[in-house]
Amino acid sequence: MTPGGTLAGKVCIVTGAGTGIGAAIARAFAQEGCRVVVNDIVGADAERIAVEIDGLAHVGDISDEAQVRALMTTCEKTHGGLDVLVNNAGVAGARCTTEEMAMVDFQRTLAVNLRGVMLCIKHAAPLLKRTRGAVVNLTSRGVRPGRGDYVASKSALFGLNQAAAQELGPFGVRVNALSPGTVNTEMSRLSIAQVARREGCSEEEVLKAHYLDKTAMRRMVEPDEVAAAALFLAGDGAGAVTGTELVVNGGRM
Amino acid sequence: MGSAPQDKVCVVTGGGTGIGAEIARLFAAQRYRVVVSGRRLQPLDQIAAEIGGLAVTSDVSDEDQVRTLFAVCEKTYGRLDVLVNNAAVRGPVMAIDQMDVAGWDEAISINVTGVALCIKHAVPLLKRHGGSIINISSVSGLRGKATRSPYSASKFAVNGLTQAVAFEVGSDGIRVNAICPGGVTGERFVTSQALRAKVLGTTAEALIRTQYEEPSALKRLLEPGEVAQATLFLASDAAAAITGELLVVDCGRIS
Repeated sequence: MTPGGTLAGKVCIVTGAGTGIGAAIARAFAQEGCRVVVNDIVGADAERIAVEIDGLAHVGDISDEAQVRALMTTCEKTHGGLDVLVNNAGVAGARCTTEEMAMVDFQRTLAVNLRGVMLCIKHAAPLLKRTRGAVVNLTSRGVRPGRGDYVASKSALFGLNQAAAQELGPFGVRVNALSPGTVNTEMSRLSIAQVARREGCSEEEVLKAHYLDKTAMRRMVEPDEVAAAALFLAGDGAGAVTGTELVVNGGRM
Repeated sequence: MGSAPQDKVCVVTGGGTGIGAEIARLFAAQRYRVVVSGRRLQPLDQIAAEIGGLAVTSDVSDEDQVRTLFAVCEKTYGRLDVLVNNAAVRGPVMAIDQMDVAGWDEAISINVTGVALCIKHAVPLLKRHGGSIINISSVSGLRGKATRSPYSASKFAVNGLTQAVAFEVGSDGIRVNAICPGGVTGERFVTSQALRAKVLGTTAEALIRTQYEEPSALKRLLEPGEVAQATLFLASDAAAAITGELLVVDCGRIS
C-alpha cells in the first residue's frame, strides 16, 4: 500500500504504457487496485500490458486531438469517469545536434512530448474536475548535447505543468511533474550508445563517467521506482502537493 | 508498495508540537518505534505517552546533547532507520537593518548547525542497515521573504546541506531529502503572520489571504498532517531512488 491512502477502485489512464516506464506505472496502479486504461501508439504493446494487468487497451497517437478525444470518451464510457491521468507517452527525439536537425523531426518531438500532453490534459480536465483527480506528467531535466528537441519539449512541459496546476487547482485537481533520472530502459540504453559513438569509447565507460559517477546512489533508477513515485503523487498522501516537480534520479548532481 | 516498517526506529527532532508531533503520530501509526526529541520535556512526554514512544530532551544546537540523543536511541532500540530533522525556530521577524543579532545566531545554530549535528551523529547508526534522513525545510529555503531573512537564510542552508550530504552518504545506502512546506496551519504560522503584519503595516488575515490562500492553486493552507504524509513517503521504500531532492508541499503557490 502507498503511504497515506489507497488508490483502489480509481480509474487511471497511462499514456505510452506499452513499454518501459509507462508499463511499470500501469502495473503499479493495477497492483493498487486501479482500473487502468493502457494507451500506446503500438497496438500490440498496449494489448500485451492490458492483458497482463486486466486493463483496457487503447491504441492511439496522443498528438492527434481526435484520438485523444476518443481515449477520454472510451475511458468514460467504460469506467464512468477518470481519477488519474499519467502523461507518460513521449519520444526520445531525433538524437542529433541542432545544426543537423530536420524540422520535421523537431516538430514530431514537440507534437508528442508537448502537444500530446496538452491535448490529454485538455480533454481529461472535464472528467478530472468531477472526481477532484490528479495529473502526473513525466518530464526530464537533463540537458544533453544532441538532444535539443527532446530537452526543449520536456522543459516546456514544466511550464505547462505549472500553468495547468494553477488552472485546475481551484477545482481540486492536482497537477505535478515527475522527473526520472537515467532509468534502466531501452531508451536510456540507446542514449548511452549515442554518447559512446560520439565520444569514441565504450558504453560501460559512458555509463560510469556520465551517469553513475554523477549519481549519489551510484546506480540507475529502476522503472518500478518511478512508478512508486507516480503512485505517491496520484494518491491522498500528496494532497497538498501540486504544481511542483518530484525528481527521482538517485541523487544526480 | 514498500516493506512493512515493523521494528524500524525513527527519531523526530522538535517532535513535541506542530508538524513534528504529527510526524511522530503518523510514523507510530505505521508501526515505527519513535523517539521524540525537543527542548521542553512536557510536550514530549505527552506525545511519547500518546504514541508509545520515547521522549528525550535535547537541544539540537548542543553537540553533547545530540550525541546523547543518538546514544539513548541506540541503547533503547539498538538501531536507527529514519532521522527527521524537524526542530527549528522562527527566528527574528524584522528588517535586516534592525536585525537582532542574538536572535539571528540562535536561528542559524538551531536551524542549520542543529541539522548538521544530528546528521553527523545519526550517520554512523544509519550506515549499518541503510536509512533515510528527511530535513523539514521550507519554501523560504527556495525564495526569500521580506522580514524573514534569518529563517530564509537558514532554510536555504538546510537545502544546500541536504544535497551535499546526499552525495556523501549515497553509496552507504543512506538517502537524504528535504521537504519544503509553505503555509502550514498552526500556532506558529499564525504568530509569524501576526509579527510580519506588524512590520509590514497590515493584518495577519490580509497576509494569509493575499500571500498564501489566493496565490495557491488549491486556494488553502496546508495541514501539518500533509507534511507528515510527504515525510512518510520519503522515508519509505517507495522513495528508494529519491535522494538530494527538495520536495515542495505548498498547495501549489506561485510567487
